[in-house]
Amino acid sequence: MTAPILETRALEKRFGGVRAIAGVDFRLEPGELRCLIGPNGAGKSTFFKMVTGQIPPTSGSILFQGTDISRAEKHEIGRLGIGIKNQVPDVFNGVALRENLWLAARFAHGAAKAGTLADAMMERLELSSLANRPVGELSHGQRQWVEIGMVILRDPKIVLLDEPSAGMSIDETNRTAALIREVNRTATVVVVEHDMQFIRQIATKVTVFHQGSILAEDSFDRIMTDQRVRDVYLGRHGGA
Amino acid sequence: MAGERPAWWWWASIGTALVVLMAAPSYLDIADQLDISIIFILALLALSMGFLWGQGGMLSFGQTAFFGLGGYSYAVLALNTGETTSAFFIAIALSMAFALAVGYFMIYGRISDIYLSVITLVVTLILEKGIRATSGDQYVIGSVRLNGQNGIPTVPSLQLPWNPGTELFIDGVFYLSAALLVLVYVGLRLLLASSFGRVLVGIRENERRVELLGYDARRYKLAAFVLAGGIAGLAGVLYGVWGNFVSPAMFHLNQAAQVVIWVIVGGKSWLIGPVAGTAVVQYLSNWLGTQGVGQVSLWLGVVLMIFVLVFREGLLPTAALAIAWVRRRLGRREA
Amino acid sequence: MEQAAIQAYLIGVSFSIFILVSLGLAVIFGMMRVINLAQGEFLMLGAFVCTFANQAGLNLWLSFLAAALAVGLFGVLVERLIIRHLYGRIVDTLLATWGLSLFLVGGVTTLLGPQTRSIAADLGNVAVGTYTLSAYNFVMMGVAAAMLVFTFVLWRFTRFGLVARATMQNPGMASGLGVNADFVYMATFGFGAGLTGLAGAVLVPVTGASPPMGLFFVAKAFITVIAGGPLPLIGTLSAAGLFSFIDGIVSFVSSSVVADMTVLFVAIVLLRLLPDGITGRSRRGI
Repeated sequence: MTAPILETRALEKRFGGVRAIAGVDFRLEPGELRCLIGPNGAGKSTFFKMVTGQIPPTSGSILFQGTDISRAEKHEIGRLGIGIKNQVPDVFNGVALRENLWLAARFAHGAAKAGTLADAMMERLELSSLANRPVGELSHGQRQWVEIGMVILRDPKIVLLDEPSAGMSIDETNRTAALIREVNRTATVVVVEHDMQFIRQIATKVTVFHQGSILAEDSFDRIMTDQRVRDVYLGRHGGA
Repeated sequence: MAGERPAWWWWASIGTALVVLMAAPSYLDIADQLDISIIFILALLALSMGFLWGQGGMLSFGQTAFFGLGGYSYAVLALNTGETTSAFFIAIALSMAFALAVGYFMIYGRISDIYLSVITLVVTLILEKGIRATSGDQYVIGSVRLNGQNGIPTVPSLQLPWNPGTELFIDGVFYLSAALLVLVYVGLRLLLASSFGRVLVGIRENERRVELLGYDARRYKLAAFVLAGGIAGLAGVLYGVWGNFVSPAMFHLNQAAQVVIWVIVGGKSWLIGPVAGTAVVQYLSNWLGTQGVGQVSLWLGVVLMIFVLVFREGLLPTAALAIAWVRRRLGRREA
Repeated sequence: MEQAAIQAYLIGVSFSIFILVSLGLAVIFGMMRVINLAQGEFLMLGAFVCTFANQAGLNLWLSFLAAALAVGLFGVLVERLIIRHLYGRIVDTLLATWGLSLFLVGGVTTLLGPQTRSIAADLGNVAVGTYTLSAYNFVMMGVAAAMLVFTFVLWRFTRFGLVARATMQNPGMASGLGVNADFVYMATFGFGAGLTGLAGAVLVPVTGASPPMGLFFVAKAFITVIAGGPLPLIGTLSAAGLFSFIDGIVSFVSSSVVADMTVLFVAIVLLRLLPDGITGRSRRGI
C-alpha cells in the first residue's frame, strides 16, 4: 500500500453535546476517486469542512501527505493543494463570471497568465458567452460548474466536491460526471453525493458515513448489497 | 467596476475636472475658495470610508480617529519643529501606523464585520474623550500644549518644500486639496483594476472562498485598512492646514456620523459616490445652518434614517438605476 | 484595611455603572442581535423623564419607575416604526439607529436646550475611617443588582422568558407553535429599552441629565456586551466584572480617562485572543 495523500486519525467534532463527527479514521490513496455517501446529518459536510480548515476539529488529527493540518488556516490548506466546492454554491455572486475564474487562476499562476487560463476554463465549461454576467444571475447548475472551475484552476492535489450534481438536469449531471473523471486524471477526488446513478457513473470506492462514523467502505456494487447500508438508508435502526 | 481598466471617457473626465479645478480660483472669491476646499478635504475622508465599505466590505465608523490623529500629529510636529513638509508626511505615517495597530487586532482576531464597525466607533469616541481631558498645563508634547477641548490654534500653514519661506495661502490650499483629491481618487480607481483591488472585491463578495483559494484575506484587509487610515490622516492634515486649527471635534461622534451620511447619500458602490455625497450634504448643511432650523444633527439623523429605509443604494446608483429603467421603457416603446 | 475597603467600593461603583448601562443592550443586542446605536439616547431620555417627574413632585423611586415605563413605551414605538422593517439587515439597523440617535440628541437639544439638569438625592454619606462615601452610590449598586436578578429570573424562570428565548432561537419554529413572534420581538425590545431608561434615571443624581450624555455610556455598553460574547447575561456580567476591576484600579491610581482607555485597550486585546468574547466557547445558558 502506498502512503496516503490524506488521512484522519480519531477525528472528532462536537457541537455542544452532539458528536457530529465521532472518531473518524479515513485514508485516501493518491489518484483515487472516492465517493462519500450517507443519510442527511451523517457528518459528510462537516468532515469536508474540517479537512479544509473551515471548522476546527475538537480532537484528533488530519494529515495531508504526512503533515498535520488540523490546526491550519483555510488559506494555508488551500495553498497546500486541497480545493473544495462547498454544498451551497460558494462563489463571488456580485462579480462577473470571468472575474471569478481570474481570481482563482491569479493565485496559483500569477496575474500574467490568469486571464488566458480563465478564458480557457470558460471554454471548457462552455460558459464563454456568459463571461461578463455576474455569477449571481447564473442558474444553480452553472454556478456549481463555475465553482468547480475555480477549484481546478488552482491545480489542487485533492479536490473535494460536496454534492456537485445537486439541482442539475440529467444532461447537466452527465457532463458533471465527465468533468469529474477528467479532473481525476490529475488530482485525487472525493465526492459527497446522494444520487446513486451518479455515483455508479464515477465511483471506484465508496465510503458510507452514518451518525458521524464510517459505517462501511468498499466497491460500489458491494456497498449496494451491504445489509447494514440498506438498513441505514431505509431507516431501520434496530441493528445499528 | 473591479478588474476593468478605466475607459477613455473616464480619463477625459478626469482631465477636464483637473483643468476646471486649476482654473477655478481665478474666478472664485476667497470665501468660495475656502468653502470649496473644505469640501475637497472632507471628500477625501469620505473616500477613505467609502473605499473600505463599498470595495472592501469593511464598515469602519471610526475613520475620524485617523482624521483627528493626522490633524493633531501635524499640528504638534509642525509647531515643534517649525518645518511643515516632514510634519505632513510623518503625520500621515502615524495615522497609518495607528490603523495598522487597531486593524491588526480586529482583522487578525477575526472579529465579525459588525463588531469592526462598533469597535472603530468606540476607538474614535475614546480618543475624543482622551484629547478633551488634556486641558491641564501638564499635557504638553514638546513645546505644544494640547489644550483639551479648546483644541490647538495657530496650526502652521504648509510651506513650499523647495522654499520654506513661502507659505501656502488660501488659493494654494485650494490647489493642493483639489489635486490630492483627484490623485487619491485616480489612485484608488487604478488600485481597483489591479490584482490587489480585484482580490479585495473578491473578499467583499465572499471572504471564505477567497481563503479557500489560498489567499490570506487578512493581509489584504489589513492593507486596505491601513491605506484608508492614511487617506483619512491626509484629510486630517489638510483640515489642520485649511483652518490653522485642530480640535477634539475632529474625533466627535457627529463628525463620524457625517462621514457615514456622506457615503450613504452619495452611494458606496462607486468611488465617486462618497465625493458627490460630501458635496451635496455639506452644501445642504451649510444652507440649513443659515436658515436657523434648529440643530443640524437633528436633520442629519432624519436624512440618515430616510436613506437607510428608502434609498439604500445612495443617490448616484439610484439615479443610474432610474436612467436604466427609463431607457428600457423607451426601448420597449420603440420596439 | 481602609485602603482595601475604598478600593473595593470604587470597583463596586464602577461595576454597577457597567451593569446599568450594558444590561439593556445585553437584552437588545445580546438576545435579539439588534445593534441599537440609539442606546445612549434611551439612557438620556430616561434621565430626562426622571428629572422632570421628580421636579413635578414625584419622589425619587416613583421617578425611576416613570422613566422605565416611559422609555419602555418609547422603545415599543421605535421597534414598530423602524426596527421591525430591518430585522436580518444588521448593518441597516445599525445605521438607522445611528440616525435615530442623532435625531434624538438634536431634537432634545432643540426642545430643552443644551444645559445639564440635575436632581439631588439627599441620602447623606457613609463614613469609612477618614473617607466619606456617598450613600447614593450604594442605592445605585442595589438597583443594578436588582435589575440583573429581575432580568435573570424573567428570562430563566417565567413563561415569557421561555417563549422569548425560543423565538430568538428560531422564529419560524416558534410561530409554527402558535407564538406571536412579532409581539415577542416588540415586547423584548420594549423591555430592553425600559431597562435602559431605568439605568438613565438612576444615573441622574450622579451625572445629571443632558442631551449628549448617552455618548460615553454607549461606548462602555458596547465594549461590555461585545466582549461578553454570546451569553448575554453571564457574558455581560463577566465582562462588566473584568472591566470595572480594571477601571476601579486604574482610576484610583491615575484618572478616569486613562481608565477608559485602558479598558478599551484590554477589550481589543481580549477580542484578538477570544474573537467570540468571554463566553465564546459556551453554547448553552443565558
